[in-house]
Amino acid sequence: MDRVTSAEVEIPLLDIPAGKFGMWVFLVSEIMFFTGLIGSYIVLRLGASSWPKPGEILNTPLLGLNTLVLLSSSLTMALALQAIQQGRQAALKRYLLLTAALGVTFLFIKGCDYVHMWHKGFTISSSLFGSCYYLLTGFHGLHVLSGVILLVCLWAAASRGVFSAAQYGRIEYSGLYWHFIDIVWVILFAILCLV
Amino acid sequence: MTTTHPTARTYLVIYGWLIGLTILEVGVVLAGWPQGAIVTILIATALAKALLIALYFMHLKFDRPLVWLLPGIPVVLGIVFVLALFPDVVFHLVQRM
Repeated sequence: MDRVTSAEVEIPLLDIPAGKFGMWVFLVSEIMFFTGLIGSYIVLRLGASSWPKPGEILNTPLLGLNTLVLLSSSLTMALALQAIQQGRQAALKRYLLLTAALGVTFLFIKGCDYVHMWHKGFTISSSLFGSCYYLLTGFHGLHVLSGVILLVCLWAAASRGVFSAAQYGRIEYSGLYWHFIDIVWVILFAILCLV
Repeated sequence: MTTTHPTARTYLVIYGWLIGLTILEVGVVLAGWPQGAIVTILIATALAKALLIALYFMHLKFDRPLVWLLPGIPVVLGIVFVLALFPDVVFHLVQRM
C-alpha cells in the first residue's frame, strides 16, 4: 500500500478530512433517495399479479455491455486518484478525460436503448414495469450526467495545475460520488434487467 | 493526516473480479437457469460487486469502521423500509388467491 498525506481539517473520531465527510453526508441522502426508489420497485413487483420477464423486453447483452463501461469508468477514476497522489499530472488529466468519455459512452448506449425500447412500444406509460424502468434508469442517468459535468470541471481544474500530490481532495471526493453511481447501476442492472 | 490507499495492481484485480461477476450474471440469465437459482446468484453477485466497489474503489476498507456507519445506516433503513411493507404485499397476494 502507498502511504499518502494531505493537510486538511479532520473530523474527530472518523479520522477523515472534512471534505470527505461532507461528501459522505451527501451520499447518505443519495442512498436514501435510491433505496426509496428501489424499495418501492421491489414492493410493487412482489405485489403485482403478473410481471414481464426483462429478457423478453430489454436488450440484456447491451445493458451488460453498459455495465462493463461503467465498471471500467470506476477503474479509471480510481487510477486518476492514484496518479495525482503520485504527482503525475498528465496521467491525472488522461484518466479524468477517459472516465468522462466512458460516462458519455454509458449515456449514449442508454439513449440508444431508450430509443429502441420506445420504437418497440415499451414506453413509460405502457406498464408498471415500464414506469419503474424509465424512472429508475432515468434518475440514474441524470446522476451519471451530473458526474460527467463534474469530471469535465475537474479536468479543466487539473489542466490549470490546481491539483498536486498534497492537494487532491476534490479528486478523491468526486471519485466517491462516481463510484456510488457505479454501485447504484450494479444493483439496478441486477434487479431491473436480469431478474 | 495519513491514509492508506490500494495500489494500481489491487485496483486491476478488483476490476477483474467485477468484470468476471458481471459475465457470470449475464451468463446465468442467458443460460436459462431456474428462476430461484438465478435470483439467488444475482443477489449474491450484485452484493459482492457493490461491496468490492465500496471497500476498494471508495476506500472504505482503509477507513475507520466508524466511517462505515455513514453509508451503513441508510442502507439498513432502506432494507427495513422494504421489510416493513412485506405484510402489505402478502396481504394483497392472499386476497388474490
